[in-house]
Amino acid sequence: MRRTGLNLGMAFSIWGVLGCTWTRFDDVTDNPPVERFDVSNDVSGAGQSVASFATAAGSDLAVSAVNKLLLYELGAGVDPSRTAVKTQACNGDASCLLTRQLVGLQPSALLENNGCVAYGIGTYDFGTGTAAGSVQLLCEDLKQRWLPVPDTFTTWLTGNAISSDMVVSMATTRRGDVQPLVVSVPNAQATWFYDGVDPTPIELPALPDDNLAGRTLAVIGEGDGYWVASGSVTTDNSVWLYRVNSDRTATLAGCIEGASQFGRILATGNFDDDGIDDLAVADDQRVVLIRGSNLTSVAENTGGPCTSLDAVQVIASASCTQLPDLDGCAASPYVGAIATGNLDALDRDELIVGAPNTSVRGEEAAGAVFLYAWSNDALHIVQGLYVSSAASDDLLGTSVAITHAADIDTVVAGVPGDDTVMAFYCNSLMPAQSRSARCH
Amino acid sequence: MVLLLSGLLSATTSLAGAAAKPREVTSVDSIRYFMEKGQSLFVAARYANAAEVFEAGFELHHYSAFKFNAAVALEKAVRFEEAAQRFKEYMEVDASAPDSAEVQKRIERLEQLIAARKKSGKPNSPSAVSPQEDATKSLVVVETEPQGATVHFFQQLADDAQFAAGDEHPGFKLLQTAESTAEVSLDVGKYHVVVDRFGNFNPSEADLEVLPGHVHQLKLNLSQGAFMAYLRVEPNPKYALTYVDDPKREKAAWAKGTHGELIPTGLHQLLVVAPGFQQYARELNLTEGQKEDVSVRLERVEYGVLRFDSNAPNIHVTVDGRPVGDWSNGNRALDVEDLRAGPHQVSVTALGRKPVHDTVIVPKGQVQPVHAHMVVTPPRGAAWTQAIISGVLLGTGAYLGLESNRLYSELHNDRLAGILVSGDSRESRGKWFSVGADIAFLGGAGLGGLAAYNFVRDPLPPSQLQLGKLREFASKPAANRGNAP
Repeated sequence: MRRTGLNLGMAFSIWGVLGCTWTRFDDVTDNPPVERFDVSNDVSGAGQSVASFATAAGSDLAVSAVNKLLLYELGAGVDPSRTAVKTQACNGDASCLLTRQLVGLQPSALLENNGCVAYGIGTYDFGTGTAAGSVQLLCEDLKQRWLPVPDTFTTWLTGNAISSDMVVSMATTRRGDVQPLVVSVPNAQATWFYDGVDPTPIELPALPDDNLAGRTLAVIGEGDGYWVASGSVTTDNSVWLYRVNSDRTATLAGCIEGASQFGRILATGNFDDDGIDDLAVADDQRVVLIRGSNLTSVAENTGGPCTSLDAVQVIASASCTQLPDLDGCAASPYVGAIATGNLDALDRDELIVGAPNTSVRGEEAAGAVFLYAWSNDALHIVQGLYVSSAASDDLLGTSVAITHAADIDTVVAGVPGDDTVMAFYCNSLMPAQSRSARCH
Repeated sequence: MVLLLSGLLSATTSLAGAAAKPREVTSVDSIRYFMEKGQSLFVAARYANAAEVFEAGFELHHYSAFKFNAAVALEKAVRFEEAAQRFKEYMEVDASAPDSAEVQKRIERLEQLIAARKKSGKPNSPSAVSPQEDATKSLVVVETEPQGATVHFFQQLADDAQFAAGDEHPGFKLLQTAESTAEVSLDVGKYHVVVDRFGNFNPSEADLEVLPGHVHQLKLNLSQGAFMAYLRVEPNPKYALTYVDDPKREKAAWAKGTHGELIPTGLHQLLVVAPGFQQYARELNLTEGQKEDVSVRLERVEYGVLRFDSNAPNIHVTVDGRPVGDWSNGNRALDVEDLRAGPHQVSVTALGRKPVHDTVIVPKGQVQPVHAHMVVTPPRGAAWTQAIISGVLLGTGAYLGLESNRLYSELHNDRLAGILVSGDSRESRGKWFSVGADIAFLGGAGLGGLAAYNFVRDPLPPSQLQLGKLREFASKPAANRGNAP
């Protein structure tokens, strides 16, 4: 009898210790540090590219999927709408080809003071009664807008078979009151530029010796003009530079040659705090930061072969580093996407590298995003962002972007293997005052 | 007192010693043969054959008992004429027969039956006779040494009558007086035989029980007055055995129960024993002509026996904490002997039965039957099932709880690491584990309580020890029991 009572006592003690209230899970999962955005079941491959743009209410997030564009309202704080407010079809034919890199554009007069995302090109009829090609935009008011393309591209568009695997590249500047837009379609040997004020495109000159470029693009504002960087298609290790001047003229400025796959991904950011954005160029295994103010030296070498990377001023480079739970060094390529942002609210931008092939807690190709920050004038890896639900082949980091939420830059990463996008509202660089309830 | 011929013969021989004269074995054995043969045929209802044997015996030994028995057998064989004739011949052979009047009446009754039959012309039918008339007579031969002494045959009228010395003998009737060697035909019954003083020889007497159809030979050696005494022993209990001059009990007992007879004078060792009683021993110094009556009340021994059996097929018995043995159904009861008289702690256990512990008082010199009524232990199958299920549920609850805690801990750590994502599947799993753990704990606790109740619940009465009627020791107890607990 006594033994029975003891057993019962033990049982209830265990119950007391282990008997769980399920509501405690709500306490720990409410307002999680990472927000996962919902994607409807009829969408696949969501997260191939992401971009953010400012809106009157804060910011919006654009996400590309297979033949679709999703638009989410992030708002001004840390409570985004997890459900897409707009799903825009882009069929991957002549009517609409999605760009490999979505480009978020700040509100401007050109865009009727709407924040927009440039997501593709095609002959989609916006109600103008014309079948001419255009750069297609989706704006915060959920309306589509368009920018005209050069006539030569329209001609090419109507005379060639268009397939969904055709590369369309776009880019804009990291910052600036007026944001330009550069578009390239290597198959059409066409690259053109919008200065953000005039919707008329500025065609960039053709490359010598039938070289093709435009697989990746980047734009740096300098003075009254811009530097446009374009990854070579003909060779796999060079980046061509154009100069677009304030008088709407454009010239070829030269090229930079690096290691294999040099130029496969481009981005810009203020890494040296000199007022001119710098160029981030990725190859297979690392990201090289080239001082933007030094691109003039490249431009001086137009007559000869490409300027060696060794001859330009490299600020720093970022390569793979092993971190707890993360193993991304063995996979190739290491870099899947690049973004720049000011995560610590200090002067310099930080480098954000998406590494979709990274193993997370043993889950192969679950993917991660690595943050590189400055310390003692050197770039160091400070954190790897991944998600608690990481699973093999999620490919988190296939695309990365920066959105501005709650007065601080926030990392957004596409997870096409899981058909979603993750917003990381907390990181180790975030100042204490910027930390929301999600970070506690 | 019952004196059978052989016993008496042995006793008188042993007491008379070398003075006894060898008996005529051939004659007595022949008489006994015919008498007992005829009696056995009579008992077997072969009356005609019995009559023939009795007649043959008479031809060889002219004793009236043969005639009488032949007459009774013929009457039973419905041969009334011959029966009446044999009764008449009996009267002629023994003119002084004490039952001559009764026999005469019997003859007259038979003649009336014969006359009635002749008148009616119907065959004879069995006559209605009393049980006493159905009995045959036995022959009693009393011999004395020396011969010529006067012998009195007293018939005992009451079972509890004791033959008194002197001239008055209440409860006895003088039946016949003869001179030894006396040969008398007596009916079945108890008698007391008295031999008068003969010259300078002392008188003698003895008890005698006459059985039907027997030849009783009584030899009395008349000792001279200076050498004989009379000893009578009346023990309690009545079945006690008396030994005279046999302290080791190597011979047959002198008597069982109350008995008296002549005994030589001098120092004698008297020993009275009975199972379950302490033996009684004393010395007697008897003088010439002394009549000694010894009344013995035996005291019970200080130990007893417990005799166990049970309704259970097998039991294990412990007395005062000491295992004393097992008993199985179909075997003799388990006797636990040499137990000191008084209270003892008895425990009985049996497989699948409730154990019983009780105090049993061991009687002095007797057997205390103890029936262990073992009640089955209530089945605990349901309780065990509930307990097992409860244990499984508690174990499941513990597992689910631990898993829930682990998931919670992982989620908590991931949140601290800034990588916890909304919609993490572990949240729903952890919740379900928590709910499952709570349900399992509740179910386990409920079933555990039910199991405890069913373990404690006992609707059956307890086992008990049932004491039977005390019994006497069946066998001769050991003379000395030194190891009684």
